[in-house]
Amino acid sequence: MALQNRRGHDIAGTSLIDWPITYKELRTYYEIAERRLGVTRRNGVPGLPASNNFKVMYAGAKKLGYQQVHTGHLAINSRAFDGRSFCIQQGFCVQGCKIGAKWSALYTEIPRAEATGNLDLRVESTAIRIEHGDTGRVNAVVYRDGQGREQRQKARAVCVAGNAIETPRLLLFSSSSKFPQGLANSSGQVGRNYCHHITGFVWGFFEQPVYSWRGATIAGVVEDELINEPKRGFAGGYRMELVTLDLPTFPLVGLPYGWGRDFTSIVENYRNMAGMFINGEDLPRSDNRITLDPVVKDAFGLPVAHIHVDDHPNDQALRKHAQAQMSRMYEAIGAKRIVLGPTPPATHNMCTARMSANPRDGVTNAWGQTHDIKNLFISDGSVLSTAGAANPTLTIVALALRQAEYIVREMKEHNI
Amino acid sequence: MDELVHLNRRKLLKTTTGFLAGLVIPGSPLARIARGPAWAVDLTSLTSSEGATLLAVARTLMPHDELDDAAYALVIPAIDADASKDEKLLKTLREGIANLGPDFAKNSESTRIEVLKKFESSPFFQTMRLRTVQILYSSPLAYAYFGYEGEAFSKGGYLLRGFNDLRWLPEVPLEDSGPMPVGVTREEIRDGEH
Repeated sequence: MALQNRRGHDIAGTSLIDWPITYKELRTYYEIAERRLGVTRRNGVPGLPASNNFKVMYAGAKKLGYQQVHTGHLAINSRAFDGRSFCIQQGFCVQGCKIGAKWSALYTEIPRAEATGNLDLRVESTAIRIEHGDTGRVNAVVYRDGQGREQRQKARAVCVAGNAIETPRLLLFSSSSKFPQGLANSSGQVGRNYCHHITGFVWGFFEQPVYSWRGATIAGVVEDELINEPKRGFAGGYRMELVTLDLPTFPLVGLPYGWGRDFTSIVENYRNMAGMFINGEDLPRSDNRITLDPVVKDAFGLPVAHIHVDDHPNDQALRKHAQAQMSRMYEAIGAKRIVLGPTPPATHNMCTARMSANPRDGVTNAWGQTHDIKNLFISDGSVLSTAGAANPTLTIVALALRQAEYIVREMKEHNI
Repeated sequence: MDELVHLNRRKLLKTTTGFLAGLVIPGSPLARIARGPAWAVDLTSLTSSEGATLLAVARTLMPHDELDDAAYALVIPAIDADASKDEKLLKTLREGIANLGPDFAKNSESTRIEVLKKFESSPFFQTMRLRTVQILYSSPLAYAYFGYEGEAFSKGGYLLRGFNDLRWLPEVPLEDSGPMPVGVTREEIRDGEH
C-alpha cells in the first residue's frame, strides 16, 4: 500500500496533505499486525478457498487481463490459528463471525489484556467528556456507566478510539474556557476531511446459479486498479471486492429504488447473481466534516454527530470507471444483465483527526499524539491522513501498535 | 418458522378485527412446508376489506407471479401490528386505502399500477413499499421460492454444503485461491451429497 500522497496538493477542491510517516517506517508494524491477525496470503498463511461468487469474479477479471486477482488478504482463518477455528464458509461475515474464524479484538486482544490483570474494562460505559487541568494536559475522562451514573476516571494519558464519527464528537463537546473550539482543535481541523471510501454495488446475472450467499462474503479482490494513473480520468485508485447481500437486504439496500415488474425481475434471479463492491479512495475535503448537531441530542442530552459530505468530481469519475470495469468483467463471461446498485454512504469512516507534519493541517503528529495536548492520543481510523483504497483495519492496528510503543517510551522518560 | 405457526394455528382473539385467508396450492413451495390445506392470518386493527386492499398493494409493488398469496399475506399482519401501536400510522393507512378506491384489489394490474403511481410520494406508499420488501423477502416461503438457504451456522457452514460447487466456469488455480482446511479435501466436496 502506498501511504504517501504522491499526487501533489494541486487537485482543486480538496484538502489533501502528505502523510507525516513513510511506508518504510510503518512496514514493521504492518508485519506485526499481519502476524497477530493471521492475515491470509502473508507469512505462509494460505489463502481462503475460492467460493462460487469468487469463481465468477476471477473468470471475468482474467478475461479483461487483470493479473492481481485472488481470494484476498483477510483476517479470517484459512486454517485453525491462535486458538480459533478455520473459516467454515458461513457467509454473513459483516455481522461478525459466530465461530470466531474472523479476527476481532473482542475475543483476542481484549481477553488477553484482561488476563494480565492490568486492564480494567468498564463495559457498557459511554465517555461524555475529557477533562484537563490548568496546564492544558488532560487529566480525566468522565463517563456514564451501565446504569447511567456519571463516573470520573483520573488519567495520566488518554487514548481516544471512538472512530471517525465519535472521536471528533467527543473532542468537540469536551470544549472548555481554555479550549473553546474543543480539545486538540486549535487548527480547527477536528471533524474535517472526513473520508468514507467510494462505494457501489455491481451485480451480474447469469444463466446458471451462483448461490453467492454461500461462503465468506468478501473473500475475493481485484487489485490492478489500485494505482494512480491520471489517464483514467481521476486521481487515486480502487479495489474491486467480492460481495453479496442476504435476500431481504439485497432488495432493501442493494438495488436502486424501485417497484413493480422491472424491480422484481432482478430479485427473481437472485440465485444466479454474482456481486462486487467498489472500495475506492475518496479525496479529503475541508467541508466534508463532523460537527455537533444543533438540534438533535442523545440519551445523555449531548448533541449527536452531524455528518456533511459532498462528492468531489474525482470521486464521481472514479466510481464511474469502477462500475464500467466491473460491468465489463461480468459481460465478458456472458452476463445476461448487469445492475448497478446504489452507493452506500459509507463503509469505512476515516481521517477526521488526521495526522499531519504541520500542526495547522491536522490534529495529531505521526504518533497519533495531538499537536495541542501532549498526553492526548487518537488511536483509531480518524488519524489516517488520506483514506487510501484498502480496507483500513490493518493500518489502524499497525498505527496503534506503533503508538503504544511510543507511549511506553514517553511515559518512561516522563515526557507524559 | 413463527410465521407458519401463525398461518396454520389461528388464534381467534376477541380483539380480531379482520382476517385474510387462502388455500395452499398443491406443488407450490408453500405446500412443501405448510401443515394444512388452508392458511389464514388475523388482523387486530384493520378490517378484512382493508387487509385485502393492502394485500393487493403488496402484490402490485413486488409482483412474483408464482409466489403464493400466503407470502404476501404475511406482510399485512406485520403492518397491522405496527398500526395497532401507532395511531398516526393507522390513520395514514386508512387514508391511503381510501385514496386507492373501493375496487382497487379487483382492478387489473395495469390499473393498480396507474393508481399507485399517483400516490408514490405519499407516506402510505413509502411505508407499504418498505414493509413489503422487509417482510416479503424474509419469510420461509420467499426463501423456498427463491432457493435462498439463509444462515448456515446451525448446519456447520457452507464449507461442505456447496460454497464452491459452481462448475460452469473454470476452477481458480490454487495460487490465487487456497486449500480446503485441514481434514477436508476437494474430492470429498465433489463426492458429497449435493
